Amino acid sequence: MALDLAGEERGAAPTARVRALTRLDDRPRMRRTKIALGALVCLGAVLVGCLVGPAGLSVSGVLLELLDAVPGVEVDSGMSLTQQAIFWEIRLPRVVLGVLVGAMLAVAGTAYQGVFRNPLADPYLLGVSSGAALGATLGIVAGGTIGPVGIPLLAFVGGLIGVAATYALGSSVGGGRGAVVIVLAGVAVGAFFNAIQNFVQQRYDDSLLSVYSWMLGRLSTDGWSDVVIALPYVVVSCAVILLHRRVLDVMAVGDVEAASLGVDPARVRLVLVLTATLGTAAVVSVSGLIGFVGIVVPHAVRLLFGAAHHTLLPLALLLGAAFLVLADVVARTALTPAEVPIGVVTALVGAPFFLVVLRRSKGAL
Amino acid sequence: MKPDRVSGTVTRLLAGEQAALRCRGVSVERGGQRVVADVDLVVEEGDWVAIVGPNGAGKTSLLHAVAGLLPASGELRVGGLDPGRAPRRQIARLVALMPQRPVVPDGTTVRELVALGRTPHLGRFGTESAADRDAVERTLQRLELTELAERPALGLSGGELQRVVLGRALAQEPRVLLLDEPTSALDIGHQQSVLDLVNAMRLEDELTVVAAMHDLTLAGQYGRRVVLLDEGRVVADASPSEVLRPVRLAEVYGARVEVLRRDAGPAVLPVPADSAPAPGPAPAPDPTPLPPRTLVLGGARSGKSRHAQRLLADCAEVLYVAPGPVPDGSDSDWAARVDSHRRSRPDGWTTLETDDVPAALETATQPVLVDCLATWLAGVMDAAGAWESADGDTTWHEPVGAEVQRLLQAWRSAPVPVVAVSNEVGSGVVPGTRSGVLFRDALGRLNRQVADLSDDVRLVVAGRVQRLEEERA
Repeated sequence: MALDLAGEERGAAPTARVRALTRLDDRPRMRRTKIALGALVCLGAVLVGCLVGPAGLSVSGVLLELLDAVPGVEVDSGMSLTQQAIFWEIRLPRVVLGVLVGAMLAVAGTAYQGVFRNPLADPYLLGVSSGAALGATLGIVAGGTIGPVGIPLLAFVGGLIGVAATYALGSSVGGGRGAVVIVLAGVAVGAFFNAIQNFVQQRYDDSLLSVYSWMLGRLSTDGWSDVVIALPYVVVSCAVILLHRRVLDVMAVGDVEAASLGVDPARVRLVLVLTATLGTAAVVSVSGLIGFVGIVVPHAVRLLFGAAHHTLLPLALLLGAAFLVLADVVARTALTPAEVPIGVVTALVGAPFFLVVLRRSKGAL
Repeated sequence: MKPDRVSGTVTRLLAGEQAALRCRGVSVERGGQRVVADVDLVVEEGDWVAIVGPNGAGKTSLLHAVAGLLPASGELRVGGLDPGRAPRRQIARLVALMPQRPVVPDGTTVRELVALGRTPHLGRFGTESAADRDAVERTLQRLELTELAERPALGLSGGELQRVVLGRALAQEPRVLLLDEPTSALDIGHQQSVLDLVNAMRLEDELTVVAAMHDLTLAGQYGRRVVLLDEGRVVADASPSEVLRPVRLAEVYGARVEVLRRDAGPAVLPVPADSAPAPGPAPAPDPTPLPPRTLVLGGARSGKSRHAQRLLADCAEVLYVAPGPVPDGSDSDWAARVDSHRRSRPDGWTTLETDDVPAALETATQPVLVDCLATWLAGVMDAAGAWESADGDTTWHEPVGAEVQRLLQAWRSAPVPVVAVSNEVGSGVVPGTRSGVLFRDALGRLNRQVADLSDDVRLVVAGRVQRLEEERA
């Protein structure tokens, strides 16, 4: 009897250990399930985006057409040449652009919120938006000579100048006060650039409508050129941010504790803000200022799937892409043949959705 | 280099060098102010050093400098590395910090928070190895956190949270553990359990612990050595019973305390302002932490009067007793000096110029400063015409003796804190002359007798102060 008891006692610790290790094994699997779910939602959104439109394309046609594009596979999708052209030159580029823009804005928003520990931080926080808006406005006002190629370029350059000014200003007066000063500098730079932009806009009121439509954001149907412009920036930027997923978790405990855990907070902030900004500037230059994605998607993911960045970042990427593609579907179908600016849709659809998530989770932000 | 190999090197370095932490002339500036000044500190491996001191004494700044979180000047070595220069990851594998009020991100579980401690050991791309996960599980088990592992850390109680943060620090597998007032937010039971836990981990892992602590009794119980900081400087660095003394704590903290000697270490008790409150209208509380009777000795121009005035600087009203007037015929230098003392006293003090110092002491209702006894003695001897007494006299010549007895009686029973200044030798008279030798002997005798009845005797030499202890036979 006594022996048995002793045996039981000795057995207890290893059992607990095995149980703990099993639970540990569950963790990555659960994470993979979540990410797979996100990928599925994203693919579904892409498919919907390809299917919906004035020219009706069939599901099987689209799938077979995609399969046909795989090198070495020859299948007949049964689509007419016109349908094929619509799919390859109009639908797909627009959907892919939506994926890039949505993913970039959501990932950049997550990164900004992480490094600034501020739930209200969004990709436009540090003057990207006002800088890009000023650049685009100048391009639009200058008219024909600069044209459709020049406007994205000017927007891109304007966005980078905006952030560079913010960072230079913030770190010159910061004196080690870090995040808060940089955010405040962003507010100041934004106000300054907005003032110039408003002034220019008012002087050339004949271009008001174009400027306005650019600011509200839209995804173009000009074939693959915009995708080609944005793609490299988005890939590099998202990859760098995803590699920092563990570091972003560490940043959440504050600069002092993060530093004591072996992370250099100022350096991480600089690297992540620069890459996130570069990507954001690239997508803003081709899509205009699409609001709400960068702030709603990360928070919704956080509330639904947890705040740890190893899950949060990939899910924000996938669901941000899905969200923007679906918003774009609404934007081009709601008032056919007219298009609703996509920025209006993201806010109109996103705000109620976000409120529902907020209510259901009942968690604090 | 792989993490394992680096920490291996570090361990060997530590093994070769006894000291886990070495500070030489370390200073830290914050916002243009020197918050840590010229600190010398050596901590042996496996030791527990408690750093105590009033708010703003520089405890946290010193810890942050050791962790490489604040730039410091001077020579600072932790396990052979300079925390200000070495890469952050390398320092974080060597030194872990347990903050006073840890930041708990929303939505983080206990396991995730503990796993953050693995950060400096992770690969370049933040990938967790099986060893990392194993270390986290082991830590959770050691601190009995396995049950809480999936709970959100935000919902934990203060004691549980400190255990989690200790877990995070231990998951770092450091050699030196820095605690920044780790228990100041906890009740007494949780304070003990957290500190017990730290101590157990220290013994198991041969950790070196440097802890800034508020509770002096706990500091003395857990710290094998206590370092007292004041305004960024080390005021004392010795065993708990040597450092935790009432007079010293009164001086540094401005606190009224009593220290009880116990086997577990000294217990520091706060003492109420008036431990025996009288019925009726309460007497004005006496804010001075000074022991009731202090004798300040010093040579001419040594700064003894200034030191005595500083001792009473916190008292609103002080009776400044100046024996006088200066005897006729004494040298003008002396007269000028006595005058300058009287002029230098703080405003708001009452001056009483009298030869009857004993009466002044008996009737005083506020702290008294007598400046100085030598002048008084000279006056008394003058009045008695005692300058021509017999050679080799070792007793008081009457009526000087009676006067001295009155003074000693008043000194012993003074109802208020009293400070007296006296010349350490019979300066002010010409040595070698008959009267000079006589006065020197008489003053030495007086000083001796007053000192025997004093709680505190200090010697001022050229502006430097030393507290004197009685020589034991």
